[in-house]
Amino acid sequence: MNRAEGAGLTVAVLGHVVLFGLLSVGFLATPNPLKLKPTPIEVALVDQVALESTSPNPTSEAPAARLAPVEAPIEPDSAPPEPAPNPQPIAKPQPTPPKPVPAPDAVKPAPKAPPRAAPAQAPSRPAQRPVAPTGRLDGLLNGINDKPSKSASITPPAATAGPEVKAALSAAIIRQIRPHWAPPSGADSDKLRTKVTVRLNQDGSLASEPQVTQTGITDSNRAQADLAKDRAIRAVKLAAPFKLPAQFYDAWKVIAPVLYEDL
Amino acid sequence: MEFISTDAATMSPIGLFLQADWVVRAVMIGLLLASLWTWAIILSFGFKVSAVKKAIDRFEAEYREADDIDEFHRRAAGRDQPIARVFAAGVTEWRRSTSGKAIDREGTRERLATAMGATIAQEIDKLADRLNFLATVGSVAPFVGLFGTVWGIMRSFTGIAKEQSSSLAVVAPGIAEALFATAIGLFAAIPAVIAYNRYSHGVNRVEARLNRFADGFHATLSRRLEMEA
Repeated sequence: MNRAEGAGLTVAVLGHVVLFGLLSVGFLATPNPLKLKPTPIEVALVDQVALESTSPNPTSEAPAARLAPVEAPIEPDSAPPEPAPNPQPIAKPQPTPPKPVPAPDAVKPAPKAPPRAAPAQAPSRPAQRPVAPTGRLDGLLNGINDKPSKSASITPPAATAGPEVKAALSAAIIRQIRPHWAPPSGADSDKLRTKVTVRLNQDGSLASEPQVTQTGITDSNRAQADLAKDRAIRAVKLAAPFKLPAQFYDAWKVIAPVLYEDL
Repeated sequence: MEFISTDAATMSPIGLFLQADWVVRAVMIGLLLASLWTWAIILSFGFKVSAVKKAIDRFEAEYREADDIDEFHRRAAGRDQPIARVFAAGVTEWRRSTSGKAIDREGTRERLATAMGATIAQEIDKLADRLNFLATVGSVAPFVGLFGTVWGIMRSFTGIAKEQSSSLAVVAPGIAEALFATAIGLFAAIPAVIAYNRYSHGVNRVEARLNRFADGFHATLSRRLEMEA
């Protein structure tokens, strides 16, 4: 190796170091290819539904012992409104308009007369028959108190789970299972549907061993079916205890989430 | 060091290298060294060939202007140039052949041609010494890189068998790092092939010019042989 080759080697080393250094700091880095995938549209119909029953909670207290017999108020007889007397045009059409002074005087009193008569009559009539305190409102408040319910039931029967609540519950269950769900992948693995049926306690823990039923098994994914079954059971077990609203326990006493690949 | 991305999702050579298998790493290091030496040869050879061409130009100009060959030989034969050595070989052979009493003209002409031809061949051999490395890298580096790629992809597939999951995320990093071996192979081979073709042409032209100079000098000496006899 002579001097020229030494110089060439130095320049080559410098060039390679610069090139690979530039590549290493992301000079030509492509954008993350994962971001190029179209993001699936999330349809969040259930997440906007509150986990509270919209139906009102009825008081479970006993009804009032006695309701006050309240007499229906007597409708005061109202006289039929008197027909306003037709204002008689007193002022006779005069052939000569140059006499304005006597004409307004004659016309004014005539239209004012009927309205003045009507309001004078209306307020006077209720005043004529005042309702005397008779003690008949006693017991009106008897059925109302602010004491808590004496019922032993934890879940008030009124909060029944409607379809919205059921959808929100299943979404909440899936949401809690999803972090623990590692589906096997392979040919046709997206067709597998693994349904895990399990009974829950009121604190959300599992009350029974999960039972699994599977659909969508083809020849291609038969090898992954058992793996999916094991992993589904494991995911449900890991997700327990489930945090679900206690007042809907009837609705999630038994859950049966369906797990699939792109959960 | 945190600005050097070693993430698998970027095209960072260091990241790809660090994730690779040791066989693939060996292939990558070998190809990188080959690329370094290739570029060292390319750069030094460019200087060398152009210097030789300039020297031939200048020497020929001086030779045409020179009146006396012996005087020119004293002045120029000691230079460290191929053409000067060819000239010196011709003059040396001429003096040896004409020092005796009886001069064999035919033999002298043959010996002159042989001596200068041998010197030219030696000089061209010396000049083209590194070209074989370029040729080797140009033809072999893609295959070496391909070997690293095949090995890395085989390793990725055994990874699939081990994980029992054919998700692309399992095999993609392995295949990327394996393909990086082929990329380095091509990165080393392409300049080597281009430089080999170009410098082979340059060496051929230098050889042709040396041959022409030797032929002309041989003709000059041959005429002088007839005059002296």
